[in-house]
Amino acid sequence: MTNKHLLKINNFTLSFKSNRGKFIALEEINLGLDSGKTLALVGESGCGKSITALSVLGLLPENAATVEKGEIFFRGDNLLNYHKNDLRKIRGNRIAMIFQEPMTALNPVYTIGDQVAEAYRIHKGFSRRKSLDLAVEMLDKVKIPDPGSRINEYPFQLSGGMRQRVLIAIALACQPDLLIADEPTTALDVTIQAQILKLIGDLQKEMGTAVIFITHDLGLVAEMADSVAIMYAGRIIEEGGVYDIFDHPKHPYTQGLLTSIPKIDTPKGGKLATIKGIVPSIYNRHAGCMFYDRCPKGQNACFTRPKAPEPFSGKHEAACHFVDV
Amino acid sequence: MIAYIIRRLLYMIPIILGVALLIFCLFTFFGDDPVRVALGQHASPDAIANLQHLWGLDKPIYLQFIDFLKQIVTFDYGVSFSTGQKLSDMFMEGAFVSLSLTAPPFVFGIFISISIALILAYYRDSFIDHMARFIIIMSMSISYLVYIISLQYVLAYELDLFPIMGYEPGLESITYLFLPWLIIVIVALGPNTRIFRTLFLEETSADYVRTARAKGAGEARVLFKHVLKNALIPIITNTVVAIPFLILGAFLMERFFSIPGIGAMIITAINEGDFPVLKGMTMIIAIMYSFFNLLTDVLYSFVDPRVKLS
Ligand SMILES: Nc1ncnc2c1ncn2[C@@H]1O[C@H](COP(=O)(O)OP(=O)(O)O)[C@@H](O)[C@H]1O
Ligand SMILES: [Mg+2]
Repeated sequence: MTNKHLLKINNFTLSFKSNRGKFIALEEINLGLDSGKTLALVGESGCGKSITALSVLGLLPENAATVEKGEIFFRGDNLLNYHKNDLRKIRGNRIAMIFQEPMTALNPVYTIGDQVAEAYRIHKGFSRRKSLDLAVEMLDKVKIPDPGSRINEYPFQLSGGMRQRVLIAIALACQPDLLIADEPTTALDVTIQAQILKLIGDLQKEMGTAVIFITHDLGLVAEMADSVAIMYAGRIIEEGGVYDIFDHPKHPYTQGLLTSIPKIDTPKGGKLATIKGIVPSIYNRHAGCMFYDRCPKGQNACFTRPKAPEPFSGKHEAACHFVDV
Repeated sequence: MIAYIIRRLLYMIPIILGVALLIFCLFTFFGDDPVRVALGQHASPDAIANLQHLWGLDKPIYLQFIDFLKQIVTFDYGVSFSTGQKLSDMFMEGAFVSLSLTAPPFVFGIFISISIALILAYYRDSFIDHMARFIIIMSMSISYLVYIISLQYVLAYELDLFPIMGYEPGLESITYLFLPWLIIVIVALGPNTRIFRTLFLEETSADYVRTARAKGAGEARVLFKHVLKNALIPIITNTVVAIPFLILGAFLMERFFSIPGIGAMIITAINEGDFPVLKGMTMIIAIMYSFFNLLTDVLYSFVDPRVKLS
C-alpha cells in the first residue's frame, strides 16, 4: 500500500504549543499522491493547508510543533524518521516548494541568477560558472525573457509575476519528484495568475513532476487537479477524484464551496451563495464534525458522534453522517 | 555615485551654515565674557579693551560671524587661550590620539561581536546560547567604571602587565593603549553581541529564509550567506553613526589613563573656560557628523542593491 504512492500521509496528527496550551492543528490526515499526478488541497484560510505542506518538507518550527502520530512516506521511506541532514538533501532536490508571497520570498540582496544557481550548488555541487549556466537555462524554461542578462538583476527589479517565475525556477531546478505549490497565485493579478498556472502545468508535464496544489479557491482546481482533498479545521473532510468532487460532492461543506464559485452564468452584481458563519477556533476542538454549527444538515449527532471518512465509489470518501447517497 | 556625493556635499552647506549660526549665537550671547574669564575680575579697562581688539570682539557682530565662517572654511580656528597652541593643530594631534585609543577596539570588537552573535544564532536556544545570554546580561549590569578601575588595578597595578596610565607618541603608545583597548572591547562586547544576535534572529523569520531552507540550504548557509548580508544593513546604521564619537574619544578612558586625546582636551578647555577651543571643537564635531551620515548612505549602496545613489 505504502510503496505504490510517491507520497503517502497516514494518520498524521500535529500539535502546536501556544501560550494557551497545546492545540491540535492537524488531525488524522490521510493523503496519497502518485508520480506525475496533481492533488489539490483546498480549504479556507487557517484550516492547515500550509502546515501540511511544511510537515512534508520538515520545515515546521521545531520548538513549537510536535508530531503526535502518523507517517509521511515519500518513495517508500518515512520522512519523519529522517535525520535533519538527510531531509535537507531531499528539500529542493526531490521535494520542492513555492510559496504564496513572491514579493518577499526572494533574498533582496542577491541576484536572481545567484539564487537559482544556489540549488545546483547545494545539491549537485557544481561550480559557480556551471550553476549559473544552468540557472540561465532554467530561467528560460520558466519563460523569463532574456535570461542571460536577467540573471544579474535583483528581485526588486522584477514584477510579482516574474518573481514567482524565478521561485518556480528555483523549485524545479533539480527536477524534483514532487512540487508543493502553496497558493502560488493568490498574491498575483488574475491575468498573471492564469499564466503562472499554465506554466506550472506545462513544466509538470515536461518533467513528470507530481504536484500538490494548495488553494482556497476551488474554482482553480477543476482544470489542474487529478484528485482533490477538502480540508476543514485541521481535518480532511472529503477526498476524491476531480470529477467525484465537482459532480458528486458529498459533504455539505464541499457542496457549499462549489455553490460559492462564480459561474459564467452568474449575473453581474448578482449574489453568490456563501457559507454562513466563520471557521471555528482551533481551541474549541471536539470529537464531532467541526463544520456542525455552519452546516445546513447539522444535528446533535454531528456534534457528539465522531465520523470517520466513509468511502463511496472508488477513492471518493467523505466524513459526514448525513451524506446524500 | 560621484554626482550623488557631490550633491550631498552641496546640501551640507546650508546645514553647516545653520549649525555655525547656532553655535556662534550660543557662544556670543549666552556664555561668559571670554575676555573677563581670561583676565580675571580685577583686570584694568585698558587690558580688557586690548584683548577684545586682539580677539576681534570689538567688531560688529555680523563681522564677527563672518570671521567665524572664515575660520570654518580655512580650518583655522585661532589659538587656545590657555596654551596659545593653534586649535587646528591641537585637533589633529588630539584626534589622532583619540582614534588610536578607540578605533582599533571598535573595529575588532564589532568583528568579534558579529562572530559570537552568529554562533549564538546558530545554536539558538541551546545551552551555549542560554549561558552566553546570561553572561551578557551580567556583563551589561556592571558599570563601565568598575571595569576600568578593577582591570587597571589587577592587570596594571597588581600584575604589572601594563603601565598604569600615561601616553607616549609613536610605536611606544601601544604599550599604553593595550589595556584601554582591552577594556573598550570587553565593555562593548555584551551590548553589541546582544543587538547583533537579535538582528540575526529577526532576519531568520523572513520569507526568503524559508525559501532558502526549502531549497535545501543548511543552517550554516542560511546564516552566513542569506541572513548575514541582510543584517549588515542595520549593523551599518548602528555602527557608522558611532564613528564621530570615536574621534571624540572615550572621555572616561582618556581621563583615567591620562591619554591626551580630544576628550581630555575638551574637559581641560571646559575647566579653563577656553572659548576658542570649545567653539572650534563643537563646530568640527558637527561637520564630522554630517560627513559620517553621508558615509552611511554610501556604504548602504554597497550592501543593498535596492539603494541606488542618484
Ligand atoms: N508556527 C506556528 N505556531 C503556532 N500555530 C501555528 C503556526 N503555524 C500555523 N499555526 C496554526 O495552524 C493553523 C493552520 O495554519 P496554516 O496551515 O497556515 O493555514 P492555511 O490553511 O491558511 O495555510 C492556523 O490556525 C495557525 O494559527
Ligand atoms: Mg497557507
